[in-house]
Amino acid sequence: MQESALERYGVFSAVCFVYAVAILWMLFRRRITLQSSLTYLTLMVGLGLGFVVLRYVPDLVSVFGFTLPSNLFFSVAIATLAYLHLSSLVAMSRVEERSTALVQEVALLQEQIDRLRADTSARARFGSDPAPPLKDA
Amino acid sequence: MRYVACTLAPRRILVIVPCLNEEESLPGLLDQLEEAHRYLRPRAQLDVLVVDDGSVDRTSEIAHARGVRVASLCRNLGIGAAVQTGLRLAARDGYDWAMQIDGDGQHPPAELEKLLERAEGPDQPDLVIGSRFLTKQGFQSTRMRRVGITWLSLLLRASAGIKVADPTSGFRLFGKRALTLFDEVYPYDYPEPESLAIARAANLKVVEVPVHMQERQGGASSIFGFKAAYYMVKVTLAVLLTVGRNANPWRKRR
Repeated sequence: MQESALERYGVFSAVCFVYAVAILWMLFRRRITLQSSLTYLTLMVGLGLGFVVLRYVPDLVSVFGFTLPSNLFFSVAIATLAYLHLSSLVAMSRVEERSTALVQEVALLQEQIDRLRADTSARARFGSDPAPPLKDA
Repeated sequence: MRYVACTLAPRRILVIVPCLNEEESLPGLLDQLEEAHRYLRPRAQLDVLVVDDGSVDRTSEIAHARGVRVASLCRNLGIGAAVQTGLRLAARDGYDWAMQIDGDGQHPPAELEKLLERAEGPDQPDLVIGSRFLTKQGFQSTRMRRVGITWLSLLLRASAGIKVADPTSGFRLFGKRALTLFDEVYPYDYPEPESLAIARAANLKVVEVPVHMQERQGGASSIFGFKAAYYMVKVTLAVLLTVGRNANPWRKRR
């Protein structure tokens, strides 16, 4: 009975593997980077394999304190999604900070360029040497 | 206008004007700043930096045409990041002080002298805040906003031990230590109350002086309706986190 139930739960493994294939496809198309998606890929492959292992070692379900395999699957899925979401939040926060710092730096550099240009054109009008580099540049 | 005898070389001050679509009020503000520069010249060298926070109007053009320094952010980052851009420039260019003044005309440049005088006081504060509530003169904001400001004031007092009547005031003078600190860490949105908690954690001396503020001369406030509630929750949490974190605020963020 339990074995046939676990056979039906093979869909969980299938979903994980499909997700892993989707990640590989996006990596292939360069829509995501390996560095940022490696954790996702590893987790999906690991979960897919874990569900396959459960099919052959059904006692593991009760070892983890669950009566039904589906409860274990959903618990693992929820925990995984929560972890992935948190790691995405961390990554997004870092990217936001770096992006903000970058925009600020670009604005400051552009301001320096504007000043240098104005200085250079003013000197050129009076026939003197080009402007020396800014001290703080 | 009172003049103060000049005994030292003029201090270099960068006036930071964060702007988001302020084409209506900016020309008038720059005129007033020019006037302020004239009477402050013996004691202070004022440079104006307009930080255009991704405006879609002629803010940047107007600033360029007036010959002031302009830092144009290629996308809207929020008031905190815009101010920090100016603070970074001030710290890197070796300014003695940086002055934050809103681009909407709420902060009359004629009041600048009051902040300068306080900054030159014997206790040498690191951060001087222009407060509209100490003498209750000029524009006092709406009743709902005053309730919110009172809450933030109480929160800062209870959690961080900072006694400030106008914690949301964006009329501020930053000394060198404050510049060094805020060059590294400064809140990106709704920054004023949180920055006070950060300053406190870094043992900066924060003082207030009474100033006369006026209603905005153009544009519209970004804090209204649902955003006002979001503002209160966000700022309250940010202050509590800063106080609770008690981390070293000098740590580099980048």
